[in-house]
Amino acid sequence: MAMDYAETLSQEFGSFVATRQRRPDLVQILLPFQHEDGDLVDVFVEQTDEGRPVRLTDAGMTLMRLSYYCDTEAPGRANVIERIARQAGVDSSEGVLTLDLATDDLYPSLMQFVQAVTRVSSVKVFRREVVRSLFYEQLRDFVHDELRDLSPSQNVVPLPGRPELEVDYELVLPGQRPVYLFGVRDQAKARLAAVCCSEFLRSDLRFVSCIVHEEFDSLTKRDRDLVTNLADKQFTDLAEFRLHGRRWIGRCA
Amino acid sequence: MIPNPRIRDIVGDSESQAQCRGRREWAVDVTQQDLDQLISCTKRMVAPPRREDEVRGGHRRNGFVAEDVAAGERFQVFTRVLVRLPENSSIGLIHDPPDGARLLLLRYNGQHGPTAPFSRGGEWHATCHIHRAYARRVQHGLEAWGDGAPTQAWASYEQALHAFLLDVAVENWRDYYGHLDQPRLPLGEE
Repeated sequence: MAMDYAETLSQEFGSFVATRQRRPDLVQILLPFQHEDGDLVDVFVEQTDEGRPVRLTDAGMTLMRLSYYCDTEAPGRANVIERIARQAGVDSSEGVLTLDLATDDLYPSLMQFVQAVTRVSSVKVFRREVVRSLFYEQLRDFVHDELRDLSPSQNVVPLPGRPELEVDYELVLPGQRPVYLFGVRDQAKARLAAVCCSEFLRSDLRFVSCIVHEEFDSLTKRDRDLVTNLADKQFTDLAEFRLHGRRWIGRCA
Repeated sequence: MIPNPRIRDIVGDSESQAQCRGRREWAVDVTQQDLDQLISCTKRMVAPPRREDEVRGGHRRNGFVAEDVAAGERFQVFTRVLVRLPENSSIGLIHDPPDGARLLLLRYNGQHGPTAPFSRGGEWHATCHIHRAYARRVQHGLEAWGDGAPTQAWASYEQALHAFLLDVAVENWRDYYGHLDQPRLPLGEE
């Protein structure tokens, strides 16, 4: 006779679940889900004075654990963490993962939350290069999504016969000079953007240059001086460009 | 820096090796004695902790850099305390050679919950515990630490930090953590 797996699993899973009151408003759910070092995945239920569950939270443990292995607040990695959490349907503001309980169905929310915690925890195995490379991807997404009314063209070569002097994005404002936009993640790209601006100026091109840095302060002073003296406008990171880029472009027009 | 024979350059032509070329990894013949020696060797704090912990992302964090000058080894120590549940804490020792692979050697953890194997019925083991790097895991290309081993050597974050500084042999720890050395009367606690 075939085993009733659903019944067996239902009984066994329940026997491996427990709770512990950690604070008057905070109950820890002990589930048989573990990190690689044997510690349990941290799941808590925030509840009202009457004991009504409000939301699931990790109380900040996931990012605290991640911080043993990597800088969770490095621009690239912080963006990846925020994106993974959002895709898993979980909020990650203030370094705490939370999931509001909209219904009485605790079980699916628990499973969703545990999955989110494990996915965010996997960020520690991302190589630095992988995390950093998302900068260009995120800049591209922003340009194509949020600035598409400016007819962005990618990998534009303004000077015929000089294919090495390539602009990441050309943004067109009717009747105005085009905006040449460069994403800069490292020293090599900073110097290439500076050379492009210099050569375009020597060729009397009409344009406005804009550099978006992944992390301006990571450049040496010499490179910061170089790009500052040649570019018309710089944004110190992608977040600043997201906030103020469109308004600045509008002022150019 | 004395070349560390236990760390080797990653070479080879496989896809995974190519992705990692230029980085370094621990040799498969690393022994438990090697790892234990890194934990217990006498260290000197060369970059002190901040005067106050930083609060970032829901936890308090601090740390310092230490060196075993004679052996040319460099280490990072981190301290973490969860703001909302201060009994959830961790103090860790990372081997951090300038040209090598970082390895988390040791963590002294607070009473944040049970550790494996999780027992039927969710029995609660609210004990502090230690995660120690195991050579047999490194040899198999796994993360170094194994399951947490319960301990009763301390019961608070401050006691754990005191024990940790002694166990990893930071010789000048009193310069920055001298308050941990003060005897405490049982009834003197606020």
